Amino acid sequence: MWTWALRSIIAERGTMAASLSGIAMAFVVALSLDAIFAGETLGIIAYPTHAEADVWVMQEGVANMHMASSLIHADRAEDVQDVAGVSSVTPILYLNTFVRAGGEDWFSYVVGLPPQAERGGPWEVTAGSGAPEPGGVILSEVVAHKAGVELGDRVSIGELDLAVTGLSGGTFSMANTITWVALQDLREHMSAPRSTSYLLVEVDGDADPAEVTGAIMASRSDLHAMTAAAFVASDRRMAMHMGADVVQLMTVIGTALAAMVLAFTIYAATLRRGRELAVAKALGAPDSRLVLAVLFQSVILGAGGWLVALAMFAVGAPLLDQLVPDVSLVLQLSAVTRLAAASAVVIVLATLAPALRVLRTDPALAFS
Amino acid sequence: MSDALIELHEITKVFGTGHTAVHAVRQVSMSVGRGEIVLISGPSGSGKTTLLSMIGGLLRPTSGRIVLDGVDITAAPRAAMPAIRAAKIGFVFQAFNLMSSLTAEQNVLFPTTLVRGERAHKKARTIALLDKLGLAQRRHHPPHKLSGGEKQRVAIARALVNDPPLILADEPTGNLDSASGQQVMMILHDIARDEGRTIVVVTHDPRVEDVADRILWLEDGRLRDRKAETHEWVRDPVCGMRVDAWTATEFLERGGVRHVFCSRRCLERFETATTDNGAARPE
Repeated sequence: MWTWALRSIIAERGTMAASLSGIAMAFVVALSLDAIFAGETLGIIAYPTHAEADVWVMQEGVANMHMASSLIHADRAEDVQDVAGVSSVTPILYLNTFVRAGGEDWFSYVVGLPPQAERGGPWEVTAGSGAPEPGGVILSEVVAHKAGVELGDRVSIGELDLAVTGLSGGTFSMANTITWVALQDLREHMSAPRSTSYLLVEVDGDADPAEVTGAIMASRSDLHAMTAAAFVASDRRMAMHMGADVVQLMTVIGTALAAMVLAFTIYAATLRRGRELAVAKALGAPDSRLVLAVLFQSVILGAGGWLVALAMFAVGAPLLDQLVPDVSLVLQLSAVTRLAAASAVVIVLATLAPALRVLRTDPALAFS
Repeated sequence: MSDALIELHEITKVFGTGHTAVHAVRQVSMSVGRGEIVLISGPSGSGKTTLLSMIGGLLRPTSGRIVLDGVDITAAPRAAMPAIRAAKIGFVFQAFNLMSSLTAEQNVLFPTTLVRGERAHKKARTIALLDKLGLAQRRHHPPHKLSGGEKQRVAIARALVNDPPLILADEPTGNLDSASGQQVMMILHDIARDEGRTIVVVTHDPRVEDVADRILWLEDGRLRDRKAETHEWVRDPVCGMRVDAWTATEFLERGGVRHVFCSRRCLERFETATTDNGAARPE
């Protein structure tokens, strides 16, 4: 029975290839959107991920960097420094704004970094300096490339006229880019000479970041502190939340497409083999076994489509990365498992119509 | 248990209802013994295949009972029928009806997956049957690489593989040349004689009569016995056509004379044109 079910779909190689391709393409669309979104999300949270802080301290009521702003008095850095377990504190000022480069505006997280900052600077310097000096700016290398600017060229942030002194890698996504300037310059630009946004805290070697976080919040009621892991997770949730609906919708559409292709293939095969089904019934095959055989065929095609989709993605993602370097694709295990679950749904849905056809097949047709 | 493997009691099958009702089979009763070869013949549309489908448990009669090997299959639950068919009936079809994607051996093995038993035993029986039917060298061939005769022999092996007591064959020689048809009928004959299986064959092929123990004639849903090669040729008194009195279903007694007609139309004309004693009505 299983041999018959398997060979029935393998025998029609052209149909099977077309079906597998269709199912795989539908899955690839869903998978790619998820991967693009995941890649963009990683880009959005790149700064808190690479800032190398053990604890993040910010204004009370703030729990994110993405789509958030935080302003605290510069003196809070010294207050936090006095908390037990704190090894060092790096204040940064942060602003969501546009950087004008090459005649275009580039939306950016602009980070004001103090001189000799121990953390919070670019984690991959591809050209020039990694420490922003007054009057200087460190741009994303992708922005520089797209804008056609090089080291020494001028860019502006509002009224601030800055010289490009460094280029960074891994700091560009379709949603934002990261730019570093001197803390002093950004304070002037924001007319906030005694302000910082976040304090990047390094804890003592033997201190527990969670305990230090609690101690900081206990010492100052106007501050909110989070361990780096909690802060990054919070930022990721915020970033994901903003596009989750779109990704879910596309996953549903991709799944529905795959279900339709699979259902059509299995249904068409069931129709084509209507007489064989009748013969199988006449010979004594019970409906339950024949429905299971159809389900088995759906599993073969659905799982096959899923595997082909993964293979297509594995081959296509690096190519896309080369062709469109701005877009970063990140295939997450959760996306793969979610798609596997969707495949299971697709398989069951696609089996319904053919199964009904099987149940309605009259074994007496074998004599016709 | 009686000697009869199949017993049909007043079987009727009506398709449709009201004015559109078609009586495919009318109150057919018959009994077929073990090891017997029974041929059911008759004109197209006479209900042969419908009758065969009912004997095979593929179709429920409108009324009447069918007892197969002691089991009343008309009273059995529908869900039980596949298992009964798999174990007790082997089917041979005119169009062979082999699974196109399977090899000859896999086709024969197919019904074995529907019954209990050891896989090795099933495989061995399959190979033995294919050997016996002269298909040892064709085991791994798909149906499209087999001749018509070979396909039908594979179908016979498939019908035999579960060792059923009954083989139902629908026009088994219908798509075969003379030599292949003869070979297939001799195989069926041997199966009945040597293995004691009951074989019911529906066919138009007069050559098959040679191996039949009994020939039944079905016309307009009614069944009657007819001895092989027995004909009684008479003239239709209306149209003059030669009619076999053994197989004719339209006849009328008038004035102590049995008149046989080729069709209902001639019978009605005769009725209109003659009086009750058979004399011509005055103009």
